[in-house]
Amino acid sequence: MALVAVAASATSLHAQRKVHTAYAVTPDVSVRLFASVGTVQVIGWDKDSVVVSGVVAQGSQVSLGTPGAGPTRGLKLFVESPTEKAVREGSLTVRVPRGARIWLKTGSADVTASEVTGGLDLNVVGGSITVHGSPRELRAESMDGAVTIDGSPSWMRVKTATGDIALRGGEDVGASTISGTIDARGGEVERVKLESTTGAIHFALALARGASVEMETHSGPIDVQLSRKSPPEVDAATVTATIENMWSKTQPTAGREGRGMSLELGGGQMGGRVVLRSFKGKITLRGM
Amino acid sequence: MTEHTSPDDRLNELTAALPREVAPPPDLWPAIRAELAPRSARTIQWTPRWRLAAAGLLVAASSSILTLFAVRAREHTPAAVAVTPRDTAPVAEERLPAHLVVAERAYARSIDALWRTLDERRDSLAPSTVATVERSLRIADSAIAEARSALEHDPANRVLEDLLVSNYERKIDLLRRATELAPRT
Amino acid sequence: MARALSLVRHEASVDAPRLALGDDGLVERARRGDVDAFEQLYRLHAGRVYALCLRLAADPVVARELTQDTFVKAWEALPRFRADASLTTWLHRIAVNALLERRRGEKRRSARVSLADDEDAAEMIVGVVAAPDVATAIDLERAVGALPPGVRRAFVLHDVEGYTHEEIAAMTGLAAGTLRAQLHRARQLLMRALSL
Repeated sequence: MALVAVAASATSLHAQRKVHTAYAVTPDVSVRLFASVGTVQVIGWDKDSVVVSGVVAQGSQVSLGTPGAGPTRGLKLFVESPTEKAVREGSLTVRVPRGARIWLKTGSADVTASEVTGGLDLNVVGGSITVHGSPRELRAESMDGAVTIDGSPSWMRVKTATGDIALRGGEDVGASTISGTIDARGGEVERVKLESTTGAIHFALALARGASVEMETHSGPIDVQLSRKSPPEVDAATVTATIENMWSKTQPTAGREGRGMSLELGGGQMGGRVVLRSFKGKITLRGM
Repeated sequence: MTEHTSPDDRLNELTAALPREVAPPPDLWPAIRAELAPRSARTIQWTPRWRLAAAGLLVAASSSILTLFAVRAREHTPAAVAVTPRDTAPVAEERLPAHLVVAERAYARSIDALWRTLDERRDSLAPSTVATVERSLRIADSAIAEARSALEHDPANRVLEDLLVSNYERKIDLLRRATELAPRT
Repeated sequence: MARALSLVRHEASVDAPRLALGDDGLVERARRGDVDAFEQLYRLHAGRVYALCLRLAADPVVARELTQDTFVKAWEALPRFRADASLTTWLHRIAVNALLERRRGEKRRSARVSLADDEDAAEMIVGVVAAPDVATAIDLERAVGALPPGVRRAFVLHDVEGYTHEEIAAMTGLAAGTLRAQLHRARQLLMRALSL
């Protein structure tokens, strides 16, 4: 394994400077990155090295560590830009071994991660998060940026405050937002819990055998598409809203004192179980 | 919990984690104060004879209070005995199941602690972040209030109870995440 | 921006501040009729008493009345309080007596609570999945609230509040054998309810 080490360049490019540093690392290296820049790309590759490259504004504080004598198991990288304008001008690309574990915290950066199969823990305030591929473990938290997961992580927890969430399934999935929407389609899921206070939930994932699905809102509507071939058990209830069943012939019953509705449907042996709850968001069941 | 924790040990763990204190309703002290009989400035010598007499008075007074409570609970006319009839209309939180009252106290403590931390670090947050957090907390509080109000009228409704708990947990999670956004000062 | 966050601040915790004065000084003053001192004692101990009453009664309305009863009786009995005993234990004893008095006098409860009165019906407590943190505590509190009254009393006093068998016997008049049986039953029912 070749040791690659290039000192950080101080060449100015207009009001920016380039950064480029490489480290020899173990395949399961743990990388902690604090980056106050405009965009961050994390790309998994087949080399046992971490390469950090990009541009940051002049005056940015950069600490990219010092290459050691042998492959390192842990790296801590720090980039802080002095002004909001400088933040927007900064851009980093971090190449890591596919099996690496990445912890990233950034303010308003748009973060993209691809081809990482280890672990990703991404914390963004105002920027968006997009993940391509299927890391073993994924945690993605944004306040008002959108989160898009284009893959099927084994374990995934996604949280926003106002940002919309789009995901394609996985083994153990949790997504929670206050007012963003949750759109889950295009893949398969084993265990999933989707929660939104006022945002809508759209669900069209295929259910693995014996899947467990829970969805809950306060006022956001819940729209669920289910397969008729392997029908799951369904337990739906609202406090004041309506339930519309366009998936089977059974009609929901009115709740106590005529408020709200409930619907209980038995399913096939391995169809799984779907629990839907909303205070005042309409619940709609459709066929796939 | 480890793989080898027995059910007994697990129950012990869960029991040990229960709060030992739960703050009573804020209007309870005034109700108690109104019932406290003035104490004589003279020191009473507690002989067995005095104790019996005092016990008798206590029973008589208690009976009077209970009788008064039963008869005058919903009336507003002055009491014949010099004690104030208790207001029997339960305050809002007492319409909730007991276990939720305990849980709400725990939530209130968590929320209070998180708010204090957030206040200490607020100056390091961007105004747009503050606005997002505030807006989201307003939404969360509105949902909590609505679910709570519905549960007060239907305290046995498990669906409502679960929705209320979820709303609280989303609020606390939001506050926790907001405190983690700001660097420690 | 500085105070913006506090615009939507949640209502402040209702926990009372701890006071510098020890119980001894307050008890002495309260014995002599100082209501302000008694209020401070109330602020120091009400949380423990209310928690006990909530769990014993499994009903916030009854718990409020029991707590009120307890402190009113404590005020009247304070001249008899021996300072070498724990004030909390003394207050708890008054609360348990208040509960027992109430039970002796009250009629059969409404259907919603009758499950708890019926020991056989308690067998029907449906298992709920244990979950971490407050959600688990809620499950346990709910399960405790669904226990039959005598069994619940034994569990709360022994397992939650930590009183010994002798102390519980002195509070409730229960024989040691009965208490042991009630504790065993409580734990069985709770472990089943929590799917442990």
